[in-house]
Amino acid sequence: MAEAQAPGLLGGRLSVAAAARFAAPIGLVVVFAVFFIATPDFLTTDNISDLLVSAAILLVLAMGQQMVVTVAGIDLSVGSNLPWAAAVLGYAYTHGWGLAVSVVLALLAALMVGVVNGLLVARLNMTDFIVTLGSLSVVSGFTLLLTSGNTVAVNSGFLRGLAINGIGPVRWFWVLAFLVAVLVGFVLFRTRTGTYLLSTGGNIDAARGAGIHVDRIRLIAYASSGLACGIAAVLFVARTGGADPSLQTDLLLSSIAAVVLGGSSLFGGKASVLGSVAGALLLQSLINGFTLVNISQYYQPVAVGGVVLGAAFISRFQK
Amino acid sequence: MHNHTVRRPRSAAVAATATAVTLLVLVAGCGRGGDSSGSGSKDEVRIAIVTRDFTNPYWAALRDGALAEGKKQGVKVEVQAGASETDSTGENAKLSTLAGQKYNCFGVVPVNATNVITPLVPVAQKKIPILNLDTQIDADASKQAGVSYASFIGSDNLSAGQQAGKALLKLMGGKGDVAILQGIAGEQNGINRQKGFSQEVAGKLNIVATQPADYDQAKGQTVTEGILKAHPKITGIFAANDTMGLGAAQAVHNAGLTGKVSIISVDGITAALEAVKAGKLSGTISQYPYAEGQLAVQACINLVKKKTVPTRIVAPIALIDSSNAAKAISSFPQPFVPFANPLTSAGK
Amino acid sequence: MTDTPARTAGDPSPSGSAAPADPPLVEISGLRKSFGAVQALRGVDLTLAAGEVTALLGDNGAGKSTLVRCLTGVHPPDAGEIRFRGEPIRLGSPDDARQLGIETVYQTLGLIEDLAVWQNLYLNRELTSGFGPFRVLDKKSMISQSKDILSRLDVDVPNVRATVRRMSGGQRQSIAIARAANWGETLVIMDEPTAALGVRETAAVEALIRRLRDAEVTVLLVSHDMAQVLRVADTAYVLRRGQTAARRAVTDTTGDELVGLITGAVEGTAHA
Repeated sequence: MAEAQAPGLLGGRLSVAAAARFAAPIGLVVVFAVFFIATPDFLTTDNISDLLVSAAILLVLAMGQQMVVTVAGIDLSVGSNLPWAAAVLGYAYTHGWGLAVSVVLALLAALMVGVVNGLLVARLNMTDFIVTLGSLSVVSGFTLLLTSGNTVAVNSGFLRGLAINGIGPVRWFWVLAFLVAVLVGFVLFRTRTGTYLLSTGGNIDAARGAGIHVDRIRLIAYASSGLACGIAAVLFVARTGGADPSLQTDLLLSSIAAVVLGGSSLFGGKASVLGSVAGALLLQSLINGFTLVNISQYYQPVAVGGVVLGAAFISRFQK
Repeated sequence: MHNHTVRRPRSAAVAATATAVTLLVLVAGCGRGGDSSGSGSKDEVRIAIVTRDFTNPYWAALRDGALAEGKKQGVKVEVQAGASETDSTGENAKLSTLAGQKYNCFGVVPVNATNVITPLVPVAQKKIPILNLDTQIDADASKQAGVSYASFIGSDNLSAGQQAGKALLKLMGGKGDVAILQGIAGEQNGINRQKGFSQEVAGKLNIVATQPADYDQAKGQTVTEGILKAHPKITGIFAANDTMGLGAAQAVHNAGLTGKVSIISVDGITAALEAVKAGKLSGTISQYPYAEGQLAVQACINLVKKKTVPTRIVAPIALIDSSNAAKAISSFPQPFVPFANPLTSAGK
Repeated sequence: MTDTPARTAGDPSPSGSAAPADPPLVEISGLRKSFGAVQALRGVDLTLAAGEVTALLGDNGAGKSTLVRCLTGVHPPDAGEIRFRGEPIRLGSPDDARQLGIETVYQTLGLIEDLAVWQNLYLNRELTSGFGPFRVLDKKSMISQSKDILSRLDVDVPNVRATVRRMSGGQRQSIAIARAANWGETLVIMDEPTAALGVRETAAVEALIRRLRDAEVTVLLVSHDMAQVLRVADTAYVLRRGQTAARRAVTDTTGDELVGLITGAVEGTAHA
């Protein structure tokens, strides 16, 4: 007999499993409450607006990572794919190819890395951890070669406007990040491809047995992550005014942390876009709040790690 | 948008989250104890300074100078930093957060030429004065973004490189092979120091190797080890900053060449001063980030009080070698030579 | 696709001897398959009559799994012939088998635990609208039709939106069988369907198999359970060492004889 589900948070029993599933949104509210109490500067429209803008890049990366984690994979190349795409954008732009072309090239460059990752993992059956670790290094090398290690300044009024302006109080960065999240959620939960992604991650043998082309699906997942890096790179260049070729390990680890926080299983098959979004916002809120309360830099990784461990602990109750 | 298991808890959760978020937004609108439309007196000076990181003692000294001056003058000074010499996004985020708070003067040391411009745009729009500290921010990009700086406060890195060149020439007897350790590729101060050095030694010393060591001590050591093997005849090393210089000194020491290879670096951090005293480092062109921090606070105070401030304030530098190392150490972090402070003399 | 599976034109005879005008659904003759030095199948003959439940018995290593994989296109045979409704066919890939309407329920069931029952029933057969890579799922239809699929076979799953993870072993087995029966227009192969189930659940699954036969679905049942074979099957084949040791109509044999045929204690001829 199928056991009865918890009837719902409102007007019903609050089961531990339900709380576990919504750990990230609940955690986000808790963090907000804590910082609200700690300082009057946290919960102001200016600060929250800034917080959401800062979170946009991480959010987009987390959405790409979400796709890969759904098929029981992981994408470590994110840390260098973002600066790579940014470097391509910078190179094209400073060689006079116009912003539109530069952006398209950046997206293609990032997509290409994702496709290569996907081909190596899916068709050649190599371990995803190792493949993306390898591409992390290789792509980093290419980036340094392309830029000679320099940061390339990108002086674009359009990108600057993208970073600063918006529609009324709603900033373009939020809009873009939100659109990416909606798109990923739509694909995962409303399209056939999404079902294939969830199946491939949930039980690859069963998926293959049912006739799903699991290789193609995994390729799609890694390609999507690559594309997400490209989009994030455009945001990155807009925000910092240039293409910095340094390895972005913080963003890489945070993208994985956000997905884990959100309740997706690293073993695949279970995805939560709402959770990953909450996870990304939660991580960024920690950094923002710490800045305001002037907690030493060095406690931040401790807090971030603590939150991730807490989420992992809670997720045990999701079974 | 969660995996479709059961309809009801999910929509309940969405409703709960939406309610919570709405509540938070409403509360945010009221804030707690007032919004950005100032609490506190209009004349109160509140200064925010952002630099690259605090792991480099150079920036830690800048912070300390600023905080000390703030305490002395009785004004609020907040100093924050990114996580590393290359953390462009981290610094950007910190500055962005502070820009949304109630400060009326900003001092910024950028990681690269442009990474701080975007967060400064709203600051510039509010007509809050901004100081460019230590490393030049791209002027064109700033102008296009509508950001301008009330002043640049920093030491003259070109001059520092020249002084280093002079000192090394003297130590090497005017001739010989020399190697250069560069900083992070593209970092402006390092470029200027190298330029000054190269100009000074042109035609006299033979530059056999030029390698980046990213302002990192361990890298400085590794790179120097390689250089010593490839060019065993060198008698001098110029390092664009002290941490690399210390790494080079260690490599030279390990190779048993202390005393045979002269090493000059730039910055003047405590570890370097000690090394000069101990004879491991031949000399350092000491800059005074502590003084820069003090100057930044003084300039901000003047700017908030609507007094004029020179568009360029040069912080002092001095060659520290075995002859004055002890004195430098005892007066650290202050410069031990008096320097003309344009702010205290001009700003009335 | 969701109605009762298509049946052969002729009247299927329940006793095992094929009606004269129609060829049997599947006719396997002289099938051979080797893996390197191991000869898994050394000339297997087997006939599946349409609308019947045929059991496949044999000890470990007799070749049952290999035979099933040849039928499902996972391993193309080295030699021999497979005829489908009289026509020789080549099953080079699982897709070929699926095209012919052959569905299999493996011992691992092939269900995705974190997906809902309806999602599993429609796995890789989703009802969609739109085109291109973003085909949108028609969830409402799939959910309501899932209920029909399950109720038609009297499978007890009260909530098709629940995940398979929450289902008992018997329910999972029933869902997997119902899925195969729904999409398997010609043949449903089951590999040890009740091996991991308790008494009550085994009874439920066997009732489901009987309902399949009533609906005139052809079933190939691989089983170790002699009593089960005698309960649900019409015909039993015994494989021994890669060859067909015997064929018995279930009504004409006993559990002891079958055991003897499996172990070789009783000498069997290909057709009784």
